[in-house]
Order: sequence, then C-alpha cells, then structure tokens
Amino acid sequence: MISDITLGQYFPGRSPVHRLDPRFKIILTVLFMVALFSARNIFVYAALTLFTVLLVVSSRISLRVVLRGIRPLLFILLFTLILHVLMSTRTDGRLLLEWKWLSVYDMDLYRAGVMVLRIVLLVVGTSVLLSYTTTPISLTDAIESLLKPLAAIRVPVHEFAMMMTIALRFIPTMLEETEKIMNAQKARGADLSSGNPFKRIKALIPVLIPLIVSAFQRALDLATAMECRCYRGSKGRTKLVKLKSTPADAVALLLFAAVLAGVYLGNAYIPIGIRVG
Amino acid sequence: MVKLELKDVTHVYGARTPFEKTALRSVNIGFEAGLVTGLIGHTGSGKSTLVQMLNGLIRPTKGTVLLDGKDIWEKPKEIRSVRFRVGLVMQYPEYQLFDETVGKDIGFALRNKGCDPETIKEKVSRAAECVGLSPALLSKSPFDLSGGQRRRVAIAGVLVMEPEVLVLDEPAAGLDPRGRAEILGYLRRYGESNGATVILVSHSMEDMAQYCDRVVVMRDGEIYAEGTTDEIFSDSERLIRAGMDVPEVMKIALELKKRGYPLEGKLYTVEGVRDAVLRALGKGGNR
Repeated sequence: MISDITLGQYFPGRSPVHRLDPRFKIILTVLFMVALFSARNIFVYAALTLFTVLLVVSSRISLRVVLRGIRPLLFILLFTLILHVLMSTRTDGRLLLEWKWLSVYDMDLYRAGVMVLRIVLLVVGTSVLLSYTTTPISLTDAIESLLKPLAAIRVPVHEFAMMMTIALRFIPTMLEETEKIMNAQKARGADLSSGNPFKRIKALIPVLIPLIVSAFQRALDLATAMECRCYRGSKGRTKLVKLKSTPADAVALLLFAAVLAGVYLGNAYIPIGIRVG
Repeated sequence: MVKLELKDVTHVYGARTPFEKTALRSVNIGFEAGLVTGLIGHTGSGKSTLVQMLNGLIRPTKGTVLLDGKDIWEKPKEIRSVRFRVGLVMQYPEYQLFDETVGKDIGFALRNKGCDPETIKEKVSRAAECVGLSPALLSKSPFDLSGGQRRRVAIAGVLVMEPEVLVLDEPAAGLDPRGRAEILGYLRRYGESNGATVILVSHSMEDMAQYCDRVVVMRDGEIYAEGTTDEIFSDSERLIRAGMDVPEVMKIALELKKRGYPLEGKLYTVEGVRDAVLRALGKGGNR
C-alpha cells in the first residue's frame, strides 16, 4: 500500500534528539554530512558508523523503522556496489580476478564497500536527525529562521517557507487521494499492475488526471481560505511558537564539531588501516 | 439465498508499526440476494474497510469473502473478474472522472473488460438513462458538469458493468434532499429491475428506513445488530444505546407513544407514522 512509505515520516516522541532546536538540527545535519564525506580512513568510517548507531539509539526510533527506510535504496546500493567494483580503472592493491577487460582489485572492493556504507549512513543519519524526529512544520520554521538574513537582499524567505510548509502538508493528503482514486479505477476494472512498462504508464492516466484536477481545486480553495483570513505574506506576521535554543543544543553542536574535527585528525594521524578515497 | 458473505473476517492496518489499527474484528455477515441491505455505523466503525473487501480492493488479514459460495481470493490473479461482478461506488465518486467526454468515462469499465464498441455504446446509453442523465450530456466534458451531475456520471460508470452486486459508499452524501431522493430511487430501481443485490452504506437513518430491506449496524469494527428494517427499528432502545440515531419522525412517534397514544406499525417512515396516527385517532389509515 502507498501509505506504507515511511520516507520523510515523523515519529512522535520525546527523546533528546526530538527535543533539539530544529535550527540546530539542520546545522548538525550539515556537519554530519561534511564529516561523512571527509572521512578517508576505514577506522574513521568505523567510528562514524558507531556514532550513527548511537544517534539512532538516542532518538529511540526502532531499528526496524530505520532499516525499512533503507529498503527503497537497495537497488541504488547494489548499483553503486557493482559500478565501483567493475568500472574502476585504478590498479592498486592485490589483483583478485582478471577476465578480458575486467579486472578486480581488492582496493576496488574496499572502495565500493565504503561508498555503500557512506550512502547508508547518510540516509540513516539525516532521517534520524531530521525527518523521523522533526515535524515538517518546525523544519520549515527552522529553514525560514536560518534564511532570515537573506530577506535583507529582498529574497522572499517567508513566502518560500510558506510554500514549503504547504507542499509538505499536502504530501499525505495527496498520497491518500492517490490511493482512493486508484481504488476507484480498480473498482471499474482498471489493471494498474500488469503489462509492459508502456502499457502501465498508459494505465496511470485515469489516476493522474483526477489527481491533478483535484490538486488544482485544492490549491484554489486553500488560496481563497487564506485570503478570507487576510493572509498577506510576512508583513506584520508573528509566530505562535517561537523557536528556542537550550544548552542541550550547544552541547550537541560541540559534540558534532568534535566528531568533524576527529574525522580530520583521524585522516591525518591514524597510521594503520586502509586509506580509501 | 446468500449472495455475498464474509466469514470470520479480520483486518488490521499497518500491522507491526506504531500506527497499527484493527479495522474489523472477526466479522461474519451475509448479504441476501436481490435485497437492499443498509450498512450503518459511525465514522471509524469499519464500514469503508468492509465495503472495499466485497470487491477485493482490500484482502482481509484473516478470513474469507465468498461470492456465490466461492472464495473470491481463490485465484488472486483473477480478482479483476470479481470487480466486474461486484460493482463498487466509492465515497465522493465524482473525483474519479478523467476522460474527455461523459460517454467515454462511463464506458471505461467496459473497455477494461474488453467489450466491442457497439456493445459499449449501447450499454453506456442505458446506464446514463438509469441515473437520469440526458443523452445530450454524453458528448460533454465531465469537468463542465455540476457536482450532482458528475456524481451521476460516476455512478453510471459502475452501473454500466451491470454488476450482480452493487455496493455504494454514501452515494447521496453532500447532495440536496431532492438529489438524494432521486439518486437513491434510481439505485433501488436498478436493483429491482436487474435482480441485483444492493448494499448501501449511509449514516442517515432516514435513508436506511426508507430504502433498505435489511439493515446491518456496525460498531467498533464489529457487527452490532443485523436484521430486517422492521426488526432493527422495532428495537429502537438498542440503537439509541449504541449511540445511533433513529429517524426524526420515529422520535416524534416514540414521544407520542410515551404520552399514551397507541401507535402501531412502521414507525420509522413518514408514511408509517402518518397511518399509525390516523389509526390511533380513529379515522382509519390511508389504505
């Protein structure tokens, strides 16, 4: 069922990760990503994996949910793995296999493995920090707040944030709507799940047209409703819930900064282990 | 004879997630052939889930759905053939219209079935007539019609399959009283003239009282009460205890009875109460 998709879904909770200021969470995510892509040593990757696991544990999101979030990526992961092993032109390390134009070195395997690990950690880390533990609304609030300085050069920050909020707000609605329309067409004997790809795309037309029509209708209704309540952009608008940072946010920031620094130190000074990338 | 039957059906949404919810709990129910059965219950009582099981849109977590005594999930690949036999009109069906013209949209199901153009044309005009759509509308775009007309087009899009069982989820929701009466009248007539079994989901007790032969009351994913319309409404106490409403006119009749007027008969329809009142006043009923 469509509603089984967990990507970008919020799980309510009161864990330390849930309670962080969303603005800090965005900054932490950036630090985490930089750390992930800066790591060069296999031991550093091991440490980052441990850190990610600790992050998941402290968010109290069940491991099954996290793993299910990775499932849609399996194909991409497999693809990455195969490409890195087969298409590598580097010729370092020990030769494991040679056949016509194909040569596989053990370093290729390490690099491919690290690449896959990097994607998995990236997805797990960012979804635990952001989507699983932060409501979409507070996320857009945070983005608006972080981009505030741009308003000085006339970037319509509030309007962008509002558009994002609305878009996020309507994702579940649209999913529900899609499922309803699919069911209605199936009830009229539509066959949405067999035949060749071309046929299948054609079979989606009876689903897509009503979906688009109703999306426009919804947009018009929403615009009218907003105007009725005198919405006029950011002018004179105040917030009901103000974002507040706590000492815990500063601690988290220090922790992530330390992890990033640790990655650079590890890259430079760990003498043993295999260097990748 | 029982046309369509649920046997020990349980359905759980989002099993093994934080959002797990049991929508139906060991439901056993049979729908009599050729009758109009009403299905009533509060929001969240499991009506819509049950209805979507009848034509195989939802596969029960546990239990079987029998059509003419045969399990519809015997060959899951052929579930589509069941959907042509059990027509389902979903809630607010006017949002499913998509084709260029009304005629083409009504004919969608038949094209899926693989009928030839001649048959389609003939059946489409018959289905349109069934719900009171004038032939002139068939060449219009469905997006140019009014809400009420689009509702009829959507219903015609299911009637066109000439299903043996017709299931309707709130077909009259959001229509004005005249629109309601017309649509429900058309559906009742379809059932009678085709010998079809009709299952009508509604939360209007008035509709149940007026159009249904049998009534099934659902509550918290279980069958709370079931029987002929007479049986269900004669035990009005039980309905009220379940937090259900009784038809407005029945409330008046019960109040009159409480004050000593000897009212007898079908106290759940306007006509029934009128006759009973006249009889009680000693003027003889209108029959």
